[in-house]
Amino acid sequence: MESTNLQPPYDLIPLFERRLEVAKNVCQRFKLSKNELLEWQQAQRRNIIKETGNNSVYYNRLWSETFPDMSIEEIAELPHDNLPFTTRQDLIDNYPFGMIASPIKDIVRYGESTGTTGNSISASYTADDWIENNVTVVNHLSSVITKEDVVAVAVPYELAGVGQDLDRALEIVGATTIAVGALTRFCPPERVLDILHRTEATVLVCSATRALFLAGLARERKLDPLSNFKLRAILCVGEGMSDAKRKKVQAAWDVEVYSMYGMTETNTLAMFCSSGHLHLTETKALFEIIDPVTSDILPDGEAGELVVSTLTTHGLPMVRYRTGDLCTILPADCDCGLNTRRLVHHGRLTDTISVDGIELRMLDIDQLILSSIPGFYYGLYIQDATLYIALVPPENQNADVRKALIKAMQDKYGITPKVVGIRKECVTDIVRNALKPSIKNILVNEADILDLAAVS
Amino acid sequence: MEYYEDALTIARGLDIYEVLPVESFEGGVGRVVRQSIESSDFYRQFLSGLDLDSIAFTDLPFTTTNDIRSMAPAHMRTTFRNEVVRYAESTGSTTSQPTTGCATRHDWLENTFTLIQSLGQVLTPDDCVMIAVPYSLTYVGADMDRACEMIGCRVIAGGVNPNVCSWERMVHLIMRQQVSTIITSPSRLLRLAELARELGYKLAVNSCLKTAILVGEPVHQEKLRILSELWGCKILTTYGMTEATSVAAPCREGRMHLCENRFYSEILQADGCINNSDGARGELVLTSLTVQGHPLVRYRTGDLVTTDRSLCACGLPFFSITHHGRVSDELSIDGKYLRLEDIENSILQLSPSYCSPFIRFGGWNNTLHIHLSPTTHKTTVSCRERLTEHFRVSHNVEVIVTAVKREHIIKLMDRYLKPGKVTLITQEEMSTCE
Repeated sequence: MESTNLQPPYDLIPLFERRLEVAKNVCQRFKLSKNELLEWQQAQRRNIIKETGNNSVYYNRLWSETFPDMSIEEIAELPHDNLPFTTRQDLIDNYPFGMIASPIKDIVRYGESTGTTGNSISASYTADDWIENNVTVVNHLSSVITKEDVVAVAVPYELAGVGQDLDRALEIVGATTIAVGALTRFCPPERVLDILHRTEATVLVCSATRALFLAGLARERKLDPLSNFKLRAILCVGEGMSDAKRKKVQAAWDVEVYSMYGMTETNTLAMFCSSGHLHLTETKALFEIIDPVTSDILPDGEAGELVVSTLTTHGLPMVRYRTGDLCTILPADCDCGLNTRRLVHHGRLTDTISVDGIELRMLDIDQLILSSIPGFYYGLYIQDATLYIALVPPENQNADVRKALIKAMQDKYGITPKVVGIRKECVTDIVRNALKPSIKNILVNEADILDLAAVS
Repeated sequence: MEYYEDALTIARGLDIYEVLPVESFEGGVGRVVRQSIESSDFYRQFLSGLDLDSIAFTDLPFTTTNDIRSMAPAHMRTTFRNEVVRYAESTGSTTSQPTTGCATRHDWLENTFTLIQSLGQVLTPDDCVMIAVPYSLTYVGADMDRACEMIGCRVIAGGVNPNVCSWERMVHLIMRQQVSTIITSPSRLLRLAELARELGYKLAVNSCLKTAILVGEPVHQEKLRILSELWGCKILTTYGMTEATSVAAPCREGRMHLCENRFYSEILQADGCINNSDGARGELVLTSLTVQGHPLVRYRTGDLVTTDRSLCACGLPFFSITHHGRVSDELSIDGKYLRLEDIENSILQLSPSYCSPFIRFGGWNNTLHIHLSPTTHKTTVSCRERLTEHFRVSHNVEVIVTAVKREHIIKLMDRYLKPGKVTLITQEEMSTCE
């Protein structure tokens, strides 16, 4: 067939020339010395403050109200800790586009928090923001993932950026990517196992809680996670993870476990390295740790709330954004050679339970319980100032495990829990049906609590 | 950055006006097909014993879905095994052996870039696009998402996972974000219109939708008309499959062009003959021309299409197709074969406008059973008379029309993995209900 009315083809070359340029800039930053990186951060911080003042309705108002007598150039020169914080409430109040600093037509991705309750917060990325983040992730991923890997991505692709971002980064690395998704009717956990098995997947991306659930489910289906699968690494995302849980995941699948950390509104904030540490993405953001009560800045090594200021984001730049996460920043000192500092994530600040007036961090309890029991399923229930630790068979029948658990709780917190029984399905069903299985899923219902002897 | 350099090379080399390398089919099966066969464990085995130097392309046996399914793991093991960047499975059955596909970086980028040549006629960076198709397992979500993002549209990855983005949330997003284009299945678009009404929106006032690009299910003439009227927007269709990524894509003129830079096509008629003339109607048979990861040689898609080889005003040199559904999409009633497309078109055309577009039908006991949800008893009587008369005259089959509550059909749709599946009633389902 001949055509006499040829339309010029859609020109993709400028698009990819721009993408290549952004990618090269990102890669260049990974090669900077520590001092060069600090210099770049300070210069970029000033640029971004000016950009927010000029282009973001929200920040323009914030700067005018906070520093009425100063120009945006003068504000940009202020010490960083003189600037006010941005909070999640600010994002809620300015949903969906009140904070963006680019014209809407320059936004190529719009995302929202995936929580089903409460108010949504939005995220907007320009093409450059998106490529910047993809390539940042690639620089970390490629220390562990190669073209030979077959990677199953079992996190949500809808609304939030995590699945989309990882998927693209894996594609750029050249690994075979399988978009499994999370809690979809198309791909229930049984099918996830089938896919891991038949594709001989070498890497799984999911939350640590889901990884443990899948290992348990495999055993129920007479598949041995250690011999029937080819997994060599699990990349954990979506929840803070206790060291004990990390060890359980490692042991359950006989794999290396790596962590990633980020949020919808900021995209990736920390990624693993070849040595297994979690490094802050200081090539695209500034990080501080503050006392969540006094807001005082804390030195490296002390736990507090993580505060992030984006340095390369033009869609939704954020200045001193309080993440609501309890973290510790450690010096860069790492065998992998990266100059960026390391992060330890202790979970959300709100991930606590109160027992008889004592605040317990859920990840600490998780560490304590998982260090004391052979398996990985348990539940917690609190009533009348008593903490009930519900164990599934056969652990509930093991007097030594119960004794060790009670002693550990007494030694660490001075409280004596009651150890009770629970049917395994009561725990596993919660994880199976959770979009983002996490530490919060250990809280079980009163009706599920049984006498030790009642569950066998 | 190897990836971006590769992308630039592919973008520079993409020539959508290179329709069919005719010389590739000369001398036995030709260079292109020979490459596919020799790079694939599956095809080497499937076609073993044939002399590729002497056998004509048209004498090669057809490949079917069952062939691919039965050899799924081996099919992946091509020369390009280590180049594969995407693996996909059909979303349909969660129990039986799925249809699988895989793509190398070259395949994947070329696929996306070809799709952009079509979507780029329809979308601009000013568009906000809601992608309401699956992102899990299959290619379609990733494929459409990347194409729209590269065009510069504001992409919202709505997906079809109600645990993340419920139907209600999606309706609110469409309205609040002033979504101008939605990519979804016809039945989902119909359901979203109904839900928007329930949530108090007036589509004519609150919706900014200009274009709906339908995918995943065949959509026939009358449903197209209804969807276009309901949303007040232009309806386009696109067509692809797990085995082949995107096969045909829409243009600004409303036609759907087969990606001839990537596939050679044949139209297989019911009598077993190939008819590649303009207007031919038959089963689409695909041979991939540039695909490395999952090559196809004379692959019977199982889909019934009609070709239109006239020049299109959009300028794309590829011929266009109309997709009529699966070849097997028919009911056998009292010895007559009725295509689902014809039944649906007739019902929607003959139902008065005050009858809901949510319809169901099936054939058993030598009778066509139709479930409608009219608003009044009088409407039921009127519909019954018209449909009975129509199917008696046109097909000589008896019809039983039953009035059902529209809420009943909608509830069923919400329960199905693919809401469009609800249209067909099976006898087993009816006996279970009874």
